[in-house]
Amino acid sequence: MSNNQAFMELGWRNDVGSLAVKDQGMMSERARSDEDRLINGLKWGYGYFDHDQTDNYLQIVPEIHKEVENAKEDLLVVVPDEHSETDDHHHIKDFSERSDHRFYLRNKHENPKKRRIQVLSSDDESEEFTREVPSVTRKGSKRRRRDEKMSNKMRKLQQLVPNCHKTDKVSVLDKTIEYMKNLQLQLQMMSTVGVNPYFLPATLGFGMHNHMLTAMASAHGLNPANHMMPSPLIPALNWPLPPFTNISFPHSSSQSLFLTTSSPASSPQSLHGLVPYFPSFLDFSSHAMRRL
Amino acid sequence: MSSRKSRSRQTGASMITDEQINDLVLQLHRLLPELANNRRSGKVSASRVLQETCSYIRNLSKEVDDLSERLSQLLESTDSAQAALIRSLLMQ
Repeated sequence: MSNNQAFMELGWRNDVGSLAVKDQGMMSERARSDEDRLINGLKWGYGYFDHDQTDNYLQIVPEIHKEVENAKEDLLVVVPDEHSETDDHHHIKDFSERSDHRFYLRNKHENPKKRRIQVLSSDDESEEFTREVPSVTRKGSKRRRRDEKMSNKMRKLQQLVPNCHKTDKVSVLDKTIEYMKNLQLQLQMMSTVGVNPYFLPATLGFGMHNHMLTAMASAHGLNPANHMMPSPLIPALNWPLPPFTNISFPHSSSQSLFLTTSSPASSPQSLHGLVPYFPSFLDFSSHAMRRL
Repeated sequence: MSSRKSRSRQTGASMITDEQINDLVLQLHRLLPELANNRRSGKVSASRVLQETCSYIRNLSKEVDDLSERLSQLLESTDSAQAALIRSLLMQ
């Protein structure tokens, strides 16, 4: 209110009666008493300002300009220049905190796209009110719709991902990424181990693989004692390489890589290396094969 | 005017999370095989990425369920030594 920016300085003569409002402070003072409010309401009710009992003011901007013919210079454009493009509702909120009663007069030649009825509210929800005015918030509503869509999908993701209790987007996305990597790894592991330890094409049928597994086991003289070895760290160097020698095994690194794959969920580095080509998984399987 | 200040502070804070979110969405994008193919051809919207992520996770978990079922069948049908081996591989 101490701001010197006058909302309007209006020499205004017409058939309604003269209403000379010098500045905003005076106006709000006048309107503060209910009597004055009634009087003002009557005066403004003639199509220039609409007044209702809940401190909401309707304002019809272009008509005011039409009526005040010789006061074109007196019309103060209330909206400051930096707000006149898009940020209108924000601006209104600013002012709504300062005063209960305010009036915006706009020169319609300067702001032709702002010709509309504004509902101004005296409480803090004025932003909510003005958001419903379409011409200001076409961008805003687009953005809001997009945000709604995004948060909808975020909620879906949150339902899909286990142990995702935080609701903010960043942690949901974080968890999703982690979970997806885990799933990919798990799937790859299962399909590789289950379908084909020898890296034959994955299109191989499962039943066929079953036979192959048993055949392989018998061919290499598996005995249960070997498999009961508690640790995979024991290298089975005496075991001959399978006849699929065109697959190269990095023997030197297989041991360490095998160790990293042993705790896939807890070590992001190994996961990072595994997705999407799972190079260490190959080593892992080669190692397993050598254990056979 | 104080509200405008707080608003700018707010947008400053949300800019950071926006950046984070963009980064995370990009990571997701790389993980999605459906979208990774046309990654160079054009930009994919974030909501599309999320959508694909949802369906991809559903597919993945379905496949995992399927495979685990088949694996358990396999483990039942094979002899105990092999089962132990495979189990030890899967339980890593």
